[in-house]
Amino acid sequence: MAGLQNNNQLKIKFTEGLLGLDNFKNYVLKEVPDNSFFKILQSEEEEEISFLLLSPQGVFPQYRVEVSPEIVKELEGDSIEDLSLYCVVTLADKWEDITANLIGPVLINEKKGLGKQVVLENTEYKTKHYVFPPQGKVECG
Amino acid sequence: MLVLERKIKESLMIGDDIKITILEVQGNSVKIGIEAPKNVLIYREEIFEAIKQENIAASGVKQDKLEKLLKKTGNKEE
Repeated sequence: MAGLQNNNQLKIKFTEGLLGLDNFKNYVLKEVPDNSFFKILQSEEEEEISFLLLSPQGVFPQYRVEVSPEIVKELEGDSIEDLSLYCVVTLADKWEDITANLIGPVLINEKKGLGKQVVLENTEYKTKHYVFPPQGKVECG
Repeated sequence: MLVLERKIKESLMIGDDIKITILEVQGNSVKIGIEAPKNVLIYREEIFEAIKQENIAASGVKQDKLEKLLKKTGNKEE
């Protein structure tokens, strides 16, 4: 991920890792220059492991995640306001094929440097939601 | 795999704090009640697997794809 180094980096520990990649616990959360929609989550243990995270509010304004008090506590938050919500983005060759995972969002307590991927239950959300749906294509393209 | 036979409303224990109860059987679906400590994660296997696969597909952000995307978005928010 050369080219995106900057000083706005936070160390984030995922005690359980991310699902399927549970060997990697230590990440750095990086700002993307001039773009507040996205952040990069880079593994400290393995350079090849990095994720693009999306702050969902702008793209999915209806998106809501129920967070139990146990999760707030696990991430050492005093309340839900201490946690930031992100969705993991899967990039694609064509930008209209880019998707975000809404059923397995990532919660981060930036103050405490702790993160967790949660799995939503009883929800219609899936692992793939288009970030730029066809209507968006007309507007943006 | 351990195989046990249970009737409706019968339970089984996993350790001393996880209790699984068969609530209802209808055709080929079974309704299961699970009582477990809050820190025990319980997922439907297919959702768990789908998220795992998606994480693996999402890991390894390629610089060229990222730059293309960032060019498309920019800072519309502020």
